[in-house]
Amino acid sequence: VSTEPRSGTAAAAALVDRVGFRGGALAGVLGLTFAYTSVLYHVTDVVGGAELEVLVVLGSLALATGVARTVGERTALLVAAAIAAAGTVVYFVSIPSSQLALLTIGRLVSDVLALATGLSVLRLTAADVWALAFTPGPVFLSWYLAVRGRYVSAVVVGGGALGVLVVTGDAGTVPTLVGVVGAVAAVGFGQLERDGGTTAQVDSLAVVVAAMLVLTASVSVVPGGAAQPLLPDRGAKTVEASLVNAEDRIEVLGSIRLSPAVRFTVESNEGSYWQTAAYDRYTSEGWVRTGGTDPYRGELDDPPGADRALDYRVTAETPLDALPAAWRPVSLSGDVAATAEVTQQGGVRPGRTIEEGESFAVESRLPQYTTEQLRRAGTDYPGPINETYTQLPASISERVRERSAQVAGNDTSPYEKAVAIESHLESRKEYSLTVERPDGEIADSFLFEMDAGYCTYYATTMVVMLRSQGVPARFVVGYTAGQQVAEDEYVVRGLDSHAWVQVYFPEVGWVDFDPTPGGPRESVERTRLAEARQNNRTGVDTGGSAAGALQPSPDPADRATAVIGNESQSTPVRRGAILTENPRAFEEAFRNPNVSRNATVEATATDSGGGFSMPELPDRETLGFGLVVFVGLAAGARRTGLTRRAAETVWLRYQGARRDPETDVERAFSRLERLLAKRHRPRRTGETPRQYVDALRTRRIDDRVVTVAQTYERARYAGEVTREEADEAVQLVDDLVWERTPLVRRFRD
Amino acid sequence: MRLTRRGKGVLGVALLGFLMAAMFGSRALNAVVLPAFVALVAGAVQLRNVDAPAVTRETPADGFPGETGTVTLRFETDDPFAGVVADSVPEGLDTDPAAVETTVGAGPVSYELRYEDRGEHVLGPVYLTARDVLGLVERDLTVAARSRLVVYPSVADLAPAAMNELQSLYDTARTDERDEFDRLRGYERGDPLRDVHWKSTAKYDDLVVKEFAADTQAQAVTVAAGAAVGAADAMAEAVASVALGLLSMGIPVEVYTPNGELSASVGGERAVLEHLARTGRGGVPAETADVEVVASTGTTTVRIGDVETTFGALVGSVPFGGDGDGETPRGRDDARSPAEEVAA
Repeated sequence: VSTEPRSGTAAAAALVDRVGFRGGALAGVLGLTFAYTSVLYHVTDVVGGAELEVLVVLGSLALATGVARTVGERTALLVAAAIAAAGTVVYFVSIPSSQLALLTIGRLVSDVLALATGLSVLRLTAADVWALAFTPGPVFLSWYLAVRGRYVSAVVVGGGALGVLVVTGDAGTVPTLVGVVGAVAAVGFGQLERDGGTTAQVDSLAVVVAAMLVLTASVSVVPGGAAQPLLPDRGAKTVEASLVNAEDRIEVLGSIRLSPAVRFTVESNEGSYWQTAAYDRYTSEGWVRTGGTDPYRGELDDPPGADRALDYRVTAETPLDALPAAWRPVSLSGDVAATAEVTQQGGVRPGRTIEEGESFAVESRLPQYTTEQLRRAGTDYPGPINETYTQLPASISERVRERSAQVAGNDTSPYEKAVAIESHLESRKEYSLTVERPDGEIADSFLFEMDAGYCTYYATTMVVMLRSQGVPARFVVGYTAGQQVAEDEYVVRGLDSHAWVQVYFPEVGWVDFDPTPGGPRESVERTRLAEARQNNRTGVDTGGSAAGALQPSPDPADRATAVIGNESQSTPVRRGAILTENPRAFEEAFRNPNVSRNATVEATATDSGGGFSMPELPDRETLGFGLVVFVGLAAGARRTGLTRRAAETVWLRYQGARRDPETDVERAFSRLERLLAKRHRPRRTGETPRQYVDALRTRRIDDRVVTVAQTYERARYAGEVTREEADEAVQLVDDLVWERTPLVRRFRD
Repeated sequence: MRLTRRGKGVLGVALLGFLMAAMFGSRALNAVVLPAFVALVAGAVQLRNVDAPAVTRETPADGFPGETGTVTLRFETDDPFAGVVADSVPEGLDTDPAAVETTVGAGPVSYELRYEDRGEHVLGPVYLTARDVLGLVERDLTVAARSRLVVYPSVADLAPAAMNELQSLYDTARTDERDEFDRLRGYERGDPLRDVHWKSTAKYDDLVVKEFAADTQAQAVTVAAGAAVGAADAMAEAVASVALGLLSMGIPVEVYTPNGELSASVGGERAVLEHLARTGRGGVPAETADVEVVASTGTTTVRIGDVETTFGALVGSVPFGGDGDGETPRGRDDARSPAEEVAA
């Protein structure tokens, strides 16, 4: 009879457990879904369609919830397949027709392969459509399966979606970990729900999850550095070159250091900014170059407006993975021309590593314009330019837009806006290579939170500000002119690498602007070069460059002479720097880490000089991370019985608050009993306290035990015990307990 | 210890991730590969610490072929774990389900047992497949908990003619010794007509028979049986049907089978069934029994007194060469269920 209500309670508890387990499993699947949809949301935030993405996710979840109970699994699978197929069709329809014409099966396969080996989704021309088309299938199917209780299948579907984004490199460590933890929770709780698991197993699960988080945050077991997507091999190339393509993406970094090594020399009548890449898509954390490349087939387009030719010859001093060229390169000659590629942005790339000592000739067409011309250029931008180069993540803060509008002014031409923003940044921000990489969006952080930064920050912020005002602009990297060592020779070092801005003007084309202040940079870089020379580093000088030779090297004003109409004082391009800084970001970005180690190793060594470093997790993540680890530790303690033992220790040692004498004596005696049980044997069932103590007397137990037992007996059965007697009993038990506590007993003597 | 299919999948993902990282750059693959390895290692650690629980098995009552019963397994362990429980069940018993996924130690596990073949069956040991919380790794544990279960031979209702034949066998034995009048009682089916006490019958308007003292100190009918290879079940069924038929008429029996002898009076049906459940093939042990059953492949011959017939005829599926009281012999299909018979 007595077991009946208890088993009822147990059944109720089991039911509560099952409901809890189901909740945990569903939350796990939601966590996994959140992980990959947040990555996709970021893509749409950058490229556009963020609101639609949220709607698609919510709609898919709602649809799955609605049909989970009524629609069979075969039908649901067909629905998911139909959604995926529709997405694919929509994606292909949305690809610009110019690119669609080039699409072949082989190219499609190689593009998929490139994505699978680390090509970011953000590099796709129609990344927004891709993300929107990719989303609903897995969200619908995995949630449908989860609602039906098929958690493992749900995790397979969701995990597959997350896996795609992990291999494309779009999912960072944090979303991936969130997804993995969600998957583990879904599988673990799902199994507990099905098998009717116990709390102890939940503890095991929590410990496993905590171990995953701690280990992932502190150790890396996988080899390999930056993503090296297998890009389609369009033309004869070496394997080495086809593997290196990191320059398609730039992440803005924290502190960097300069490399004084000579990269290449240029024989030219005129110095110029030697551009290596231009980026169109801004991701809040960095820059991405979208679209593929076409093989170089001779003469490229001239700038839309007037131009003049500049012929020069570049000789590589270390292996190069980029083609430094003055904007805008129109023809190449030399061996490299056979493999060269032309990007969608009009830049050229070598298609293979240019060997040390190899040289090539370039003809560039420098745009010719006057300030007046730029001022009057108007805003009649070609459609594709306007579309591509005014893109901004939807999450760009309002204050950035407001500040941009305020700086740029209202009724001003794009040219005036550009000049205003350029001088605003030059004058308001300090130049420094030692900065902490901000957590959020770069432009917002640089404008409102940072006092200093280097060229990447200046250039990024200027592009964001211009775009927010509707002016097409892009982020450009390359090298400054370098050190002029002879009338027609320039030595370009790693520390000359630089980032600047190009603004588009109708009828003129891309015009360079450089918001980075020159003065402070110059001194930083000269110091670095001098230091390197003092340390007798090799590769720092070439030819006559050590002698100091002709100084100063091409002045910013040099470019002004190129401007038609002698308005040199108001040239849009202000370049104060002779030497510019070398953000490791793009210095490394276009160098093959396997071929030229010196610069990379140096930079890495400097960065990791602090010794052991945990991967940085932003605050919110740190909080969640800490919470999970804490829960894991607590669960582990309970799982191993640590908490129970601790509670018992405390229970045994502290009497607690005094109540009435009887209760106190009873509590004291039960403590004593526990102590005796540990030292001798527990009281048997049916054995009275007196019999128990008498039996133990043969083992020469303390007289105090007998005293307490007698007091207890009186309190329990006679009900007559005074406050003093009770206190004495408690005191005696306290003494007995503490005497048997190691270490403490010494202090009590 | 081995990987489950799920575990192999996780290992595959981890290795693929590792390879992709080595070939094409690490990306966030560490956040996939490392947790996968942690999960596998944690699974192995959990299973290494698992101890085989103590198992008690509640078996259902012994029964007849075609009956079902529920077996309940209770586990006692400090550390419940997920796993699959499969009791080993010998041939002749069928289980549903054969294996149960459960948390071992959290609650009892039950499965349905269907009795198929006559015999004494041993259940156990219990095979456990312990799994980690994520179901990636599993390990086999065997708990040697054994229980016995007896499946009785099938029992068929004998045709009335056959019952009469058996009754007459007893009557022959009894009539000789009807020495002392004991009491009057109501007529029961099978009572010989000559025992009817017509006076009382007229008085009570119901058939009343005389009972003699010798009836109580029953003279047992002896049944001897033998079986050829593969015919033990047929023999057991025939003997059980005859013996239970006799007992149902209140006639004690002595059963001689190749595995021994047993005497039983009314109420001893279970002992007879258990005895017959265990018997195997062999020659007829007693030549002079009242009833002799000889089973060979295909046919079972039954000799009752001097009448030789087949078991098929006894149960009425074949016409029986008796006096034929006009009653249609009852087929085996509408025979009372054996369970009711035992309960009666």
